[in-house]
Parts: sequence; C-alpha cells; structure tokens
Amino acid sequence: MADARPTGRAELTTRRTLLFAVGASVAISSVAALAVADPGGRVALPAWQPALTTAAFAVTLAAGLAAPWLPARVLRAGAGVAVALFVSALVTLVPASGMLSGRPSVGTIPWALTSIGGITLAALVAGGSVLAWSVLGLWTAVVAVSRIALDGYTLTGVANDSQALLTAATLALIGAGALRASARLDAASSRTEAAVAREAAERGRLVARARAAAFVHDEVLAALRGAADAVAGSAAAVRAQAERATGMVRDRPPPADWVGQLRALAEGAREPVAFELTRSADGAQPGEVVVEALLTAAGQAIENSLRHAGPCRRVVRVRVETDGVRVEVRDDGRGFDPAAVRADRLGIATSIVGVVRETPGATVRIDSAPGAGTAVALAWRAESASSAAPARAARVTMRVGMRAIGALFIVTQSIVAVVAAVQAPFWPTPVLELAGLLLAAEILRRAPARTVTRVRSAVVVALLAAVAAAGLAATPAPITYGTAWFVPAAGFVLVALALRGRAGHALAGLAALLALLALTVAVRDVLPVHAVSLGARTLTVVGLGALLAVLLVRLRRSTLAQADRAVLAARRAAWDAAVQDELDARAVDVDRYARPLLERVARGEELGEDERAQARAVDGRLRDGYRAGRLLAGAVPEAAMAARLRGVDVLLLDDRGEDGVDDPDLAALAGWLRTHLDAAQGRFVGRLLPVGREHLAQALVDGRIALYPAAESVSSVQGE
Amino acid sequence: MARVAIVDDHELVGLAVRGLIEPAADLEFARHERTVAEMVGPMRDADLVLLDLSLRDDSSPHENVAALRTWGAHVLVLTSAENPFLIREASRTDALGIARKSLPGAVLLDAIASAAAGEHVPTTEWASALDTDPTLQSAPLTAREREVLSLYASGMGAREVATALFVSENTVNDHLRRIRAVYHQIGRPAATKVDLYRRGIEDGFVPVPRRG
Repeated sequence: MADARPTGRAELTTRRTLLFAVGASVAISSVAALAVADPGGRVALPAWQPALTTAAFAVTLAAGLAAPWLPARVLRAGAGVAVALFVSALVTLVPASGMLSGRPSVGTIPWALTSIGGITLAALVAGGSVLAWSVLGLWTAVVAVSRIALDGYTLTGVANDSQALLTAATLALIGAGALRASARLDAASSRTEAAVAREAAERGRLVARARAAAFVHDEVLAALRGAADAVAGSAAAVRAQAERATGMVRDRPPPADWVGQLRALAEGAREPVAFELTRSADGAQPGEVVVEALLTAAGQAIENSLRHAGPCRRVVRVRVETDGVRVEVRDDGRGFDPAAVRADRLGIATSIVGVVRETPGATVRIDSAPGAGTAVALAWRAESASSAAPARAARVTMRVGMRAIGALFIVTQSIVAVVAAVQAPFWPTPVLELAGLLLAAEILRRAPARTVTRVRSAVVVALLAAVAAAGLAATPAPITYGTAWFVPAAGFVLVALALRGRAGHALAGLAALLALLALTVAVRDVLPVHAVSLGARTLTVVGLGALLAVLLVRLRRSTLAQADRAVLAARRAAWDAAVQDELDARAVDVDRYARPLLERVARGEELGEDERAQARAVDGRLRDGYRAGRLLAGAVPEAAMAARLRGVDVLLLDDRGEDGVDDPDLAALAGWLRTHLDAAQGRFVGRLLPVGREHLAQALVDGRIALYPAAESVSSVQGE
Repeated sequence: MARVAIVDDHELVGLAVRGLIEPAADLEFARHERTVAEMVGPMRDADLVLLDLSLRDDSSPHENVAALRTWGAHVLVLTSAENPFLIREASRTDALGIARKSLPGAVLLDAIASAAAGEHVPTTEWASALDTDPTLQSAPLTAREREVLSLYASGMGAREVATALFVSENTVNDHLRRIRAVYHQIGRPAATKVDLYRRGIEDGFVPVPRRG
C-alpha cells in the first residue's frame, strides 16, 4: 500500500501522532474491557476469536506507545498488522458465532469488537483513507448483520454502534485531513527551502557584480568628466584614467542571463532573427530546469525555421510576466501542416514538444499552415500562483466530509432518541435531550467566523453540560449506555467545537461530562460496564478529536507560513532579476556611449569642443542610469542627450518608489518631458514625484516649474 | 582664506577640483589624498574637506565624516552617481551638504565656498533623497517645511523657493536647516523584514530597478 513518495518530516510526525492516538484509544478501551467483568448475555465464541481482537489491540497499543521513535515503514507495518488482526476477528465473527450453521448462540457481540475508532485510525496510518473507509464499511456491515442475527437491536446496541461509527468516521476524516495537510506542508517546505537557497546564492553573486559594476562606472565617469573639463595640465591624467576605464570595460562584457542567452541565440543565428523583450518588474524567475527546456526548445524552433521556412522574416518574442514567461518563435515563411509532420522530423517531435512536456508548468503550442508561416509558442507558469488551490480544495473536501458526518449524526442520534423515547417511562425526556444537542450544534454551525468567539463557544459548552446534567438526572435507574446515549453524543458537538478553533473549551466540556458521569455513578444506580463504556467513548471521541483538530490547525498554519516565505523569496528573486536587467542596461550604455569616446582619449587623441560637450552629455546619460528610472521612457533619453549637448545641466529623478505607473501615463509623460527638455536653455530638473503628491511629475525649466498632469486648480509657480 | 582639501580615489578628480579652486580669491587648495586615514595627519592643514561618497577602501560615509569632523574640518560630500540610499546615509552624517561632481563649475565653486564658511549646503539631490525617504513621513516636520523640501527637491534654489512661497530667502534657509536637523535626529529606522532585504541596495552599489 505504501506509495513511492518518501515520507516528509511533517507527515512522519502526523503519522506518529495518529498512531499514538490509536494507542491511547486502545488503552482506554482495554481499561474499559478489563475494569469491568464481562457481563452475562455475551454470545458464546471459541476462545481463539476474542484472542484475535486482543492481539490486534496489543499490537496497536505497542506500536502506538513506540510511535514517537519508529521510522515510517515500521509505523505503517505495525498499524497494518493490527488492522489485519482486527479485520480477521471481524470476518470470523460470523462463522464463529454459528450464524452460518443456523444454530446461532444468542447474545450480544463483544464490546471490544465494537470499538472501531482506534482501528480506523490505524488503517488510515497503514493504508490511507481508502483502507480506513473500507475497514469502517466492513465493520458496519458485519456488526449490523451480527446484531440482527444474534439478538436483534437493543437501545444500547443502536446507541453504541451508531456512536462508534460516528467516532470512527470523525477521527478518520480529521486524521486524513491532517495527513493531507502534512504532506502539503512537506512539499511546501522543500519547495520553499530550494527557492530560498537559490535566491540567497543568486543574491550573493548579484551584490558582487553590482559592486564591480559600480567601480567600472566610477572610473568611466571620472574619465568622462576629465575629458569634458580638460583642465590645463591634466592631459596625462585624463589619458591614464581613460586607459584604465576602457580596460575595465573590456574586461567586463555584459553577462547573459537566460533572456540574454535567448537574445544571443536569436542574434547569433545564420540569418537575421529579430528579438523583442517585454518584461514586467516583478516578473517570474524560471528555475534552471525550465530555462534549460525553454532554451533548448526555442533554439530548436529557430533552427527549424532556418531550415524549413525559406526566406522570410523571423522574430523571437519574450514576455516575462508576474506569473510566468512566454517565448514565441514566429516566422512568415513556408509553414507546414502540423498534422502531417512525419515521424522523422525529430526536431519538432522530440526537442520542442517532448522537452517542454517533460517540464513541470510548461506548455507548447505550434501554429502553422502551408504558406501561412509558423509560430511556436512556449509558456511556463510559476507554481507559486497555484499553490493555494490544493489547500483550498482540501479544505472544501474537509467541509463536505464534516457535513456528511453532521447529517449522519442527526439521523442516527434521532433514531436513538426515538428508540429511547419509545422505551422511556416519560417519552419527552429523550426528545428534549436530542433537541438540546441539536440546538448546541446549530449555535455552533451558525458562527460566522472560522474560529468561534469565546462567548459562543462557552454557550455551547454550557448548553451541552446542562443537557447532560438534566438528562442524567431525569433518566430512571438503572442507567445504561442506551438510556444515557446523549453523553457521548454531546462529545461529538465538542469535537466540532475543537475543529472550529476552541480545543481548550472542548476539553473543558469533556471534563464536565466525565465529572457528571462520575457523580451519577456515585449517587445513582448505573450498571458498571455501561458507565465505563460511556466514559471511554466520550473520552475517546473528544480527547482524540481535539488532539487531531489542534494538529490540523497547526499544520495548516505552518503551510501558510511556508507559502508566505515562498512568496517573499519569489519577490526577492524577481527584484534581483530586475536589478540584473538594470546592470545589463548600464553595461550596454557604457559600451555604446562611453567606450568609443574613451578609446580615442586613451589613444592620446585631442578632443574638440563638440566632443568634450559629448563627453559631458554621456556622463549625464550614465548618471541617469542611477536616478532617472522610469523617466527614461520614449523619446526622453534622446531629448536629454540633445539638451546636454547644448550645454543644459539636466537632472532626471525618479522619486516615485515602488508604486508603478501605467504604461499609457508613462508614454504621455515622456512626450511632455521631451517638449520641456527641448525648450530648456540652462538648467532642467525632471522629477517623477513621490506617491501621494497632487501631481505625477514636475519639470523645472530654467527656473520655471511645470506640473504634470496640468490641473486647472494648480497654477504653475513662477520662479524668477 | 579657507584651505580646501579633497579625499578621492582618482587623481583626475583632485586635479579638476584644484583647477577650480586655485583661481578663486578666498579659497586655497591644500591637499589631495586617496583615503581619509591619509588626510587626517597630526597637523590640520585644511578647513574644509571634500569627501568622495563611495571610496574604494570599504569605508562608509559615516565613519569618514566622523573622522574628518574629529580632525576639526568641515565636510562637503561629493557624489558621482549614487542611489538615494547612499545619499540618505550621507545626509545622516555631520557633513554640510552633498554636491555632485558634475555640477557646472561655478555652481560647485559656490557650494565649496559656502561649506568653507561652515554653512549648510542644500542641493537638489539631497532634498530629493530626503523627500522620498519613507522615514521622514512620520518625522515632526511642519506642512510648510515639507513644502519647502518638495520645492527644493524639484530643483529650485532657495531664492526661487522664497519667491514661490512669498517668504524671505532667510526663512527658506531656516526651514532647510531645521529639516537637516530633524533628519539627523530620526536616524536609521528599525527595519522590517522587507526593509532589511531592501537595505541590500543601500550599500549604494546594487541599483534600484527601473519599472514599467
């Protein structure tokens, strides 16, 4: 039954806790069975039959007590052996009791055999939900058949069996939920740890690179300013500085990230392939496996196009979005019929489709028709966006399960109440008890928040205790499990309370119920075996239910915390990727604008007036890399360059911080800035304003302030 | 006659500053050194030290300014191209101001002369770095002071701000001095987790990504 997946830390802990709970439940049952002498009226059974049950309990108890130290496989094996023993006891009950031979010995079935809660949990540990529900189903059938065949249903039988079934179903449901939650937690933990480690390593490299880049920049700026100022007597120093700067620029070609590699792939092709990149700042960062797959597939798509499409235009489009990336390789060449691709065209069959399909989160689509060109669209979606979905689905499963058990509770306990009312000397008593229990359950169900308020919780507990107290007082002696059915029934409402975040109150309620039972035993006539059974069942269902509910809540909370960490790591990785882009852009700027000029200075050439102005303009352009941010959009870089060449001191400041600006706004703003830059004569300061200011941006043009967007309520402030 | 020295990694920058200062009537060029340790000799021979914001010896603006102040000199910080975090860091020091090396010569010379006289030298970059510092949001600044800071950050000079707000230039300078004092007092904020991460870029080397 064991699956291939290794058991994670949280899951192992959960299994151990579950089996420990089983051990505890069996211990309670055993104490109950031993404390009380077997009453008369039991069905006669051969000695080996109860021995099977005893062995099952002994194995469970041993495994449960040793659970904190057992490895996963032994845990499962122990639970499996216990379940196998119990199931064989259950199955052999039918022949052993003589039901098949037509001479059944009349009597009740052993109480131990009806204590199914612990065994159901053991089945859950050994083989998961399927085994647990199968065992429970088998038990229900055998017990119902045996009861009917052996001595018919008594009130105690109905109450005991229905509540044993409810106990087992409740524990199995919560336990299965806890197992699922712990498996999710393990998966989330390992994913998060990998992401955090990757991010930290990447970050170290990034900081080192940024530091190195800053020094290069510093050298380049110093050389540019020296060349621009051309202070008398500085010629040799300027030349030395230019030599040093160009040397550093040569030593540090812009490194390629995966987008860079893709760009190199496109630009290095035999024939021209255009490259277009759209990248959002918090763009997703695919891992190494995904990058490898995307690069392989895109490379193959380019190669296919070069080989088969004939003369045509080709383009690689890359979109890096928040939740994933898209790479499209498109041409307007010959095209082909995808349905008719021969098997020997391995390029498409294995490289593109195959590689991508093996990559988690990745998809591929090939659109082509003869004469209509070819488009290969590769896409990858980040997992983090969907990781909350299974958790939500699991919670829905849990809620549906709880509703089913709630319905089962209402139906079975109503039947018990009706049977009790028929037999009771005063029929309304059991009906009132049922009404009290259902009222408490309804109060709980109507609580709006996931965690019930203290007051509502206290009301529920008080109501249940009142029902139990009044019921025990009103029930005529001798009190049996059947006539005191409402005490364990109240326990189920307490479990529901524990699941809604009030485990402490539930345990307080349990204490109250047990105290009431003890008091009743002390002052009134209660059959001892029934008193112990009542106490054991109530203790099992509330104690274990509360324990597992707390476990479940904790697991869910840890999973959420892991998800938060993962989101944080992803956000940092995205930020770092954007920083890398920034560094790349700067390296390109230095290469494009500064290097040609500095190489001439380094060779000892004298710069003319125009070229010195150009050096000053390039110095400004490189400084913009640090502070201009989003203002470097549209025609602004060119207009700033032109203004600087005219001798204008241009300062561009992006002071908006983290908050984004919509692209259309930015485009309009760029147009506006450009107009003002073109008009500047001496000094220009363009500033994207911090969030919360009345305007998006402002420009100071030779002492005059202009605001964007221009509002009628704000007149522009005249400087001089 | 005020004596001006400079601490900068580049010989060229020293030459340029010297070329700027020597013709000035009431300023005298003292020395050019590459580190603050080399500058602070037993005898103080400079009244004002121009300090490069990011020296390559791993020293921080904070330590450097403190050492120079102890030595007894005023400090004016010079920047080439740094992110606002590093400028904020320098703004928390005892330096009189922060000026960019690429300022037009006459403007830079004015700034040096003011600093040599021990006056506060507010600049556009300084104001912009402070105006956008989230920690200043909760600082005890008046609405008028915030207005002055914002206008100053937009590139206006004290005279222009004074005209725009219909107050005297002295009043504007008073406001700027108080903003500087308040900024000194609030110091570096306790960092939240995200801030702690972002602080990574505050060493002044890792750039702030461009958006959109």
